[in-house]
Amino acid sequence: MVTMSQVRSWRPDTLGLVADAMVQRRRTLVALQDEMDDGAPPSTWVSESREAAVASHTTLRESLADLVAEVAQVAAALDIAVDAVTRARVELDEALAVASANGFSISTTGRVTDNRDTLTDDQEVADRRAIRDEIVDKIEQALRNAGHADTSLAAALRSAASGVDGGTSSLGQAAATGTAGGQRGVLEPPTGGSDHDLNSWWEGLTEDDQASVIREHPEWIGNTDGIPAWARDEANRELIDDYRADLTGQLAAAQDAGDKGLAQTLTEKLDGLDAVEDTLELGNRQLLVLDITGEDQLMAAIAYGDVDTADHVAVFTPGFTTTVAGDMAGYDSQMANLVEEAAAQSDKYGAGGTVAAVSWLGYEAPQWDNVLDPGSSVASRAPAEAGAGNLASFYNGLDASRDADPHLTALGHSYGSLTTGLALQEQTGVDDAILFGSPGIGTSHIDDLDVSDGHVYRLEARRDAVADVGGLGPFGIDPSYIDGMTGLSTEDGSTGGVEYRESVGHSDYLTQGSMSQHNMASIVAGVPEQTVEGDTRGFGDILSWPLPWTY
Amino acid sequence: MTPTTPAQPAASPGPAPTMEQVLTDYTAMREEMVSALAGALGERAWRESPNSPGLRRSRVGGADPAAEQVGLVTWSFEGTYAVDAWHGAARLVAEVGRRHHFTDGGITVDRPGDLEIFGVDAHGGRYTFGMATNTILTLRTGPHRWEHPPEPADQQPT
Repeated sequence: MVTMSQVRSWRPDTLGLVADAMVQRRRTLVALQDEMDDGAPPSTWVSESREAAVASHTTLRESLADLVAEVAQVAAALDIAVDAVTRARVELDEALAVASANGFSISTTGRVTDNRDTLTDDQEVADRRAIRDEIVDKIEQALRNAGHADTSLAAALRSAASGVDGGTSSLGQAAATGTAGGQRGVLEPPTGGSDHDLNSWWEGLTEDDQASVIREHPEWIGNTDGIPAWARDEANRELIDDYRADLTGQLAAAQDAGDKGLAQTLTEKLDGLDAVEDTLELGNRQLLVLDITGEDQLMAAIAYGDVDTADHVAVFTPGFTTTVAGDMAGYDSQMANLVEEAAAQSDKYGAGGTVAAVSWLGYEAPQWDNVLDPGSSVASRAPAEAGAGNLASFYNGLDASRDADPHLTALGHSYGSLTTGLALQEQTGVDDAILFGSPGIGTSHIDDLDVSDGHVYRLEARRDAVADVGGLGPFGIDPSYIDGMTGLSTEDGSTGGVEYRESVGHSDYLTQGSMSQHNMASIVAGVPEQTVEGDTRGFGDILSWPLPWTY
Repeated sequence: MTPTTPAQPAASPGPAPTMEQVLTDYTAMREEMVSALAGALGERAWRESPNSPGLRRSRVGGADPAAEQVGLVTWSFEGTYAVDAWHGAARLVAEVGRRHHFTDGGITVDRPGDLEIFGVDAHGGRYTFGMATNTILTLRTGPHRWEHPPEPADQQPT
């Protein structure tokens, strides 16, 4: 990898002069076409020496074509390198400007140091760390781009030096061949990079390179957190046909081998692709995750609305028995309704802002078939733990992919609230969390969640037995008893003059017109003052009361 | 643990008109509502809400998997009518709704600084009219089939 001092010593203007000179040479050489044509032995020349003259002329013409191609390749590669190095220099200058404006210094080796005295306030420390990370990201991206420019130019020069075949056509065609050879490949995403690194990589690409990635390497970005939603969406849509063909081929092989279990799994994944396409047909959706590599299930996430620009973004994680094939359409509809309700509240109460919501089925939720399998049973934390890493990364990626963080709300239902609760124990950009119909959130202490005080909400409907099994499994105590969570009403009635329908049972929380949906929409829309609080503990909660000294 | 499945909508009575027909009727009803309010309470700068998610299509499952619900673009204006006219405004909206075969669904909210009513039609459609800081009018259809579904490309986020 090139160093910062190397890049700063590079002179793209000088490189530009060389590129200009090479372009001029290319033009001069291509302009020799007429002379070459005029110098060809005429057809009226009839003698033994004509054959030798023709051979000599052909050799000369082809050598000239090769030379034109080589010069054109070098000219094109230089031209591209000038742009790339200039961009890298600009990115470095931006990093230096941000550092200077915020009291950081950057050493010649690229080390970033905070010049401020010891900080004591946690928020200030976090803010300074964020600025430092931004500077580091810019430097790393500049060096990646500079390195890629250097490597690409070196490769083009080596190739030209070893000879380029200019073909047997015209010199103009030879120049076109050389120019094509001088184009560089797209810089690949940094392996093992953070979502900020990946976003910097993406933003560092030219528009042409971005289009090329979507067209030729959609698998690089479709499920990559930190990449803007519009690009993930386009990439994942590009992949649907390939995935369908892949799964269809695997299905045929499984059927030939008589593997009924695998055939069933693959059939369900194909059904899931159908469900994804049916949902995308409705428009105003973004396909943010599409993953066929799960052991048992297709994984997918579809946003309703524009995640790149929405002021408020909600991410909904469902639970037990959820599959893309069986549930994506229904959850998508519920998220669309939630967005509509939240946007209406945003309008009506004047807080303002657009809303988007994601149905995130980006993990393999436990199924009835796996109840007895400790590795994937609903009675274990394993599926939730496996999903929580993906989910936390997804949350962080939403922030990293945008210039301004959205107001981000995590919604977790049933077993999905466990997955959500575990994800929120990592550092995420989640501003509000709503856990409903929850058997447990993976902890008995709200301080374990990386969400500000007063911003974690729970809802429990009457006759929702699932919400009372906390403490029975390894999920933490019943969330009804976790101190610091704000209970939101699921009842009908007229609390504060508000009249909404009651939610009953385990699967009614997101029903249009219900109190619970209203409350969730208020949180999502950033108008928590419009919620109706309520403590809906029932008989089941008496049974799930945790002994205070046991957790 | 009970499976988590989305709730299903109630079945619609009788054959439903096409989505195109419903949207035409709803649009006309909305125009009438706004006209009636303007006639009684004065003109207001109603416009498509900048926060509205736009034409919202969703599949609702149930008896007809091909049926869709559509949420129309929300209309709103900044501010409200005079507070003492709020209930009159709500009555006007409900009257127009009844002319378009909506029944009064009820009052969602009625408290100082916050009024919202809704109406429903026989196919599960719903309008909402509310006032708090601003005034909103939302419309959502019940499940209907399109004669000619719009192209998804026309509705992608921009």
